[in-house]
Amino acid sequence: MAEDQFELIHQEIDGVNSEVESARLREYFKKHPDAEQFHADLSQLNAVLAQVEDVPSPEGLRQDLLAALTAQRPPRTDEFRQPVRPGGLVLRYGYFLAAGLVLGVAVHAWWAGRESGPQLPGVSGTMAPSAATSHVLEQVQIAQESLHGSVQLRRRQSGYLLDLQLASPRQVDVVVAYGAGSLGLAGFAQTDGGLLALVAHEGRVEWTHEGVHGYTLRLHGQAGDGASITVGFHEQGRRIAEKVLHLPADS
Amino acid sequence: MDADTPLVADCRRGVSGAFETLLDRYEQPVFNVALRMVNNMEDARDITQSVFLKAFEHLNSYDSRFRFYSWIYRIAVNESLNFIKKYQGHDESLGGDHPSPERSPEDAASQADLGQLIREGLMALKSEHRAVIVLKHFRGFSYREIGTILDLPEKTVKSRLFSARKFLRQALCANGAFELTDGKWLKTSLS
Repeated sequence: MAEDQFELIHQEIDGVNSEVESARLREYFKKHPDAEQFHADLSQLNAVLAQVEDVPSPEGLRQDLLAALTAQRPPRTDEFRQPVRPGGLVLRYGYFLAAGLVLGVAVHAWWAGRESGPQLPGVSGTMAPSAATSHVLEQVQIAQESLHGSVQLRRRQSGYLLDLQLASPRQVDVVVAYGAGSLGLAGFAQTDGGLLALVAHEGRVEWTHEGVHGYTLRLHGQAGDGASITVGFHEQGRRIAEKVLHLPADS
Repeated sequence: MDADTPLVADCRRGVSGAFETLLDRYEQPVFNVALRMVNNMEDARDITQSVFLKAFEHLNSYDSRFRFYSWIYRIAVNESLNFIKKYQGHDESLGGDHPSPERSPEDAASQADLGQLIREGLMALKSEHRAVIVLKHFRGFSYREIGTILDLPEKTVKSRLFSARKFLRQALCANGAFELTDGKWLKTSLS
């Protein structure tokens, strides 16, 4: 089949041929039944594809997006910056770092409820039983004077979920470092539906916790051999706890 | 001036509700582009979220000489392509179709088969071919519009689309959606 006719056939399917071009094609079909068959095949393919309907958006996506966008709107400086604490601030919540990826993410409870771990007593919200396929890789407890809770690492099909259940009467800066390799932050949720300012750098996210809350981080990708996730907790610039969760070597 | 232009202008001025209206318009189409590209609900959800966050973040750099939908679909396709590139070999199947509730069970089952078979066929294509099929057949864009979205000359769009159709046809024959009988291409699983 000549290149010109091939193009005309496709254009006929797309309905963009002129009258003259369509007539030329019909004439061509009379002498070339293979071309006519090809046209029929493409018409059928076109008809089949036209039957495919859009899939509805996942429930809650709009709410998640609006929550994330709310968090991403540049807030007033005095609302965004954390109070400077004596003794030097290890975690700097300044405005978007030049070298780092900066992201303000906050997601409503609904999202986290879909893929969250066990609920701590006292954590309000709408955490639903997990509907997603994931299994627990490791769980560690935190039992410090001013901070209690747990950190749980779960594997899901396309990455990992890190669930933190924290209880602290004072402000604690939380830093989750997952390396700058092939893992990337895909989502973040505070499970009681609060809106939270989260600062994400390359391979690391930071936020400030106070009270009793659950958090879920969704990490996408595959970790390399020996990779780990380090979760550090700091109070007034002083590290009060650090937990290292190891990713399986075969992941 | 297209219908999105005033909304984009409102967004830039910080008018409440403007971005939400754009979200209403494009959430489902963008999600479906991502879904056809990556064939995974969770990944498509993540990509959709990323698309709108990027659009919102870069709204001030959006060039209003172009249509907003071209811009948002370009972000959607690029995000999907980046995802595919980054997670190559990542191949999770979609856990079932999501027919709309108005359809009869028979129609729903048929649509589920159809959707699944087409998705499988699409996944057999190179991502660049998949993108033109998605934009042409599932979003109904013209060659020129696809060229604008993908930043390709119209001639390249046509050439890519025509090749993509050929490969998709082969893929659908291979996965049993169609079969060649007596020289005719017959639907088997699809009614």
